[in-house]
Amino acid sequence: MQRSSRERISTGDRNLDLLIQGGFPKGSLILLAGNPGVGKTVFSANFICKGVRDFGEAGIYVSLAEDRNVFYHNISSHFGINCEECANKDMCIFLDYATVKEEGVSAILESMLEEIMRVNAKRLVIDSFTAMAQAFKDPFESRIVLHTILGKIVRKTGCTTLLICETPFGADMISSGMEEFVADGVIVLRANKLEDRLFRDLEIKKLRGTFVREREIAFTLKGGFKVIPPFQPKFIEKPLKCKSIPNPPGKIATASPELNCILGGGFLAGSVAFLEIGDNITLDQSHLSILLPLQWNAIGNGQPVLSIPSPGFNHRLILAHMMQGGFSEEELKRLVRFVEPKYLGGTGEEESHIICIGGKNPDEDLETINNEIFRLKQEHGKPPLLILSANTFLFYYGVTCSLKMISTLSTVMREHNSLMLLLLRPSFENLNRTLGALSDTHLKIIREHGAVFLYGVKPRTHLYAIEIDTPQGYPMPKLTPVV
Amino acid sequence: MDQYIFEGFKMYANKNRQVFAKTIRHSLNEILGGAAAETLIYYIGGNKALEDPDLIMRRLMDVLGAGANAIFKYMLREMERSAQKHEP
Repeated sequence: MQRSSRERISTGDRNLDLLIQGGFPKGSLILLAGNPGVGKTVFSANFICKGVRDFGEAGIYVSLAEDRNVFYHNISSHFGINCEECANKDMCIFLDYATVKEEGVSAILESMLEEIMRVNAKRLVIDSFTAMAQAFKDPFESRIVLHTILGKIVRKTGCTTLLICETPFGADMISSGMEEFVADGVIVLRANKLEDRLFRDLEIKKLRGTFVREREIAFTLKGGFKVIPPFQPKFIEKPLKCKSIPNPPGKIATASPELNCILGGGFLAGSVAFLEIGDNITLDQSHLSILLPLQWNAIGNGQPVLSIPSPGFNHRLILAHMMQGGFSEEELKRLVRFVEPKYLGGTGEEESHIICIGGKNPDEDLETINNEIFRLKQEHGKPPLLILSANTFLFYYGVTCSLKMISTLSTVMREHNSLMLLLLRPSFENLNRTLGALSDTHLKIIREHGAVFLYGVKPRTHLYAIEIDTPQGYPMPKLTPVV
Repeated sequence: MDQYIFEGFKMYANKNRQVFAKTIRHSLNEILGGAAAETLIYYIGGNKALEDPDLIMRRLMDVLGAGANAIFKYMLREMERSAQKHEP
């Protein structure tokens, strides 16, 4: 994180703080704008609550719309904070005003200042300035209030202010037009659709004196306000062995309980799952998100794995990734087989875990793969999990032949009551539809604002943000729904 | 702080503190509008502060910075106008 000479106050979200040099400049006036339902109140409540809970800083919430009891109830359920208790300790003050006339605004501002000075508040939220400004006959008066009272007096107290502005649906401007110029920062919250699913993001349009690492950032309202940071692969030098999860009846589980939950316990045994990989998704991102948890669980349960890597990757790269699950190279070589074209074999030495194919004769190569499936089943008493990159087949055999081979292999795997996971990186148009139709489960990984998301096409699911966590001593995807 | 304005403020305050305070309040209302003026008066110390020319000038300068000078000039003009009106 680039250091700032100015003192900072946490936004209430650690990930957002990291992207803006540690938080908002202390004493600044930040405009928070957005359409109804985008999360302005949740963002602001998070700003106040985390201030109280994590930094012991008193906060004041001036509401011109919401009732105190409703607000307290929402805060308790979202953030687990007892607002009544905080209010009694003068840590979280809620000033509840219904929309007021002009004469009432000075009363609000006076009691707001009185409370700021009385409790030495460091955080102030005005929800909303749009409602407050409606009380003025002359729009110029709201500019003076903004500039003089909030911009100068409140700033002098060292209190950082979040000013909520309501933007109607379809409006081009984010506020009446002058707030953006007076404020030190302007943040716009949005709720849009991404791949036909709800997607939330914020845009930092302005933040004086701050180097902003990412201007557009994804977030979710799951359990409060939570920024989804750009994907960071995490690798461990000496990983612990991944804990395997027994397969539920009729299912093939992954090592990730969260992923299993999305899949209703795991992938269906005797099925084909299709993982569509979107643009700009790296090997780390696709492997850490789904492939490794699935393969680690199979290996931990003594099930062999047959892998046909994507073009550009070979067994050494994949093995190095797999060792992050705490398995030794010997253990992996015993249970995992790689199907590769001859010249990618590498050392030239015979290695039992590499099955060479010519890449020229589809029937011959299909037979080699099929034989290996049978051999692995005989050797380990369990049919292997087949991880097949469709791009490798497309590269060597063309579209028609590849589809025939994939179709044959899917029948073989269904008969063995195992799972074929089919991967497709961006390639031919509409091929995803064809492969999707062949499959029982269709998942897709995409990237937006640097963050990585997973969603189910079949069955249809929300977007899930993927972050890599290592609390158990090995990397594991943490999935958070975008709600 | 402009010495000429300060001397003028002192002179009018000494003549009649209540009229002086009323003129200050009226001027702030005219320039800033009701809500901002009332909040500002509250912040600088309320009605009592309005009767003290030294205090009011210092506090307004503190809040508004150099911009306060224009407000002081307006206030002084208002005081002169009010005095002329009340002169026999």
